[in-house]
Amino acid sequence: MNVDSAGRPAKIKAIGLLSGGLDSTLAAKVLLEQGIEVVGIHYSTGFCMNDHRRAMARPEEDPRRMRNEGLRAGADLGIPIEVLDAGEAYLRMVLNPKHGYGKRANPCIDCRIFMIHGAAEYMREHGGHFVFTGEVLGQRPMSQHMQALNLVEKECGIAGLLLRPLSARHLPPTLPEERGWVDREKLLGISGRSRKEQMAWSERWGISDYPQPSGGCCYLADENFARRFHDKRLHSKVEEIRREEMILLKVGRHFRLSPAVKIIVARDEGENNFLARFVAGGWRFEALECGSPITLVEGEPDEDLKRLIASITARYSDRRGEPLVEVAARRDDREERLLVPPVADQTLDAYRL
Amino acid sequence: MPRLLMGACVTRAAGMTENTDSIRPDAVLDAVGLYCPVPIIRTSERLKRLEAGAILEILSDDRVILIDMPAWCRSTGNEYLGSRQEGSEYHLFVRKISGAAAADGQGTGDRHTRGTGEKR
Repeated sequence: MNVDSAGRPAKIKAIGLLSGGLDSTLAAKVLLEQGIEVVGIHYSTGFCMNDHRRAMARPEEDPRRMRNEGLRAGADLGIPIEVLDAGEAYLRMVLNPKHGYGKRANPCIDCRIFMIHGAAEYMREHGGHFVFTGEVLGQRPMSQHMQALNLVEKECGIAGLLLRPLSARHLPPTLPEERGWVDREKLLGISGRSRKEQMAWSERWGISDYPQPSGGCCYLADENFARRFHDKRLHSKVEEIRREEMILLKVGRHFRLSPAVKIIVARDEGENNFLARFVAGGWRFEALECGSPITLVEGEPDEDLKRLIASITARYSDRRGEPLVEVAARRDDREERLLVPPVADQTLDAYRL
Repeated sequence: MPRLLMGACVTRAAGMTENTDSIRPDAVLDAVGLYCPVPIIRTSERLKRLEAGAILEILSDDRVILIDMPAWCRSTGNEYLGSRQEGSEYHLFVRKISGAAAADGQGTGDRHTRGTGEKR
């Protein structure tokens, strides 16, 4: 390692989590302003709303609204971005978080530990002096209070080497500060839920292109998704839940018909096309001779449930005003036809997730 | 080795249709049907196995990649040469630059698993 006359490394390198949101962008900028080399780590978790919106986008939608903010921020800051697929390990964590869930299905503390641990691992493999995040003391109720910040640092195994540049002045000095790698006086002292200070700093540094703060972009913190997620956990062997099943939680109307049978009803043509990719091996229902949603079935329905599924499918078809609708139930090469009345909405509500 | 023929008209603005007909890629990556940001992850992995100066052609049906790929190239120091559209597919061209972040084991990569391979 090259060192200067004071014995400090000639070039300090920091590895940081970069979502592309305002806080992580500012945290990187704070360090860049001190001449520190920065590498951004951007995680793909599979639960990002923007990624899903992009997969389902209609042709007329503005693609700039669906860009990857981490890549955009890296380009604007002039720093390399490492995009990491959180993969199966992340799913296992989400399904069984050591520190539990927040209000929805958000395992925020375990998520921070997972990502910071990954950044630390990257630092060990590729070189670097410390890890940083855009966390702000007191900003988020579950993961960004003092106790949680301490817990995350402890469990990541990089005690003293985790810097939060935006709130550093409220926190005990870290090793990078004590060793003179980072000038503590030039770190910030932001705390709380207000974004006013962040916005003032972004204006000062000419950072204007960033997604709206607090917009919420994680399915795990979404109320509707969380309801379906916890239903999935309740009715499955958790260790057998696959990523594909998580993807399906984002699409369509969901109805739990019995402990062993759930259906997903597409809401439009885009969702029909999406669900059509997941039909192999299972039952799917469609009303005949009209515009109809695809209804995907999870589990093995008996004859009564098949009639209920058919009537729900009829309810969302273009023939929902008719007394009887013919619905096809297909599984691989097999087809059955059922003539059913569309289900009444009050009946439907009892099953809705 | 790069095979950008003389006289080719290549612009680099995202979202534009460029004249990339004259580019002769050294390798092709088929990322059609893959979820964002897996095409970027795969691009990085593929570039790491190419020599500096080589051109990679990326096939994708995700039109937002026309914004993301130039941004990733600006971030990592690789050179975005442009794109063209053929039906619903986009063909993007990236030249690996010596010393670029992705070429040195930085830039995009995989930590926990290789790309998900999830299809849209």
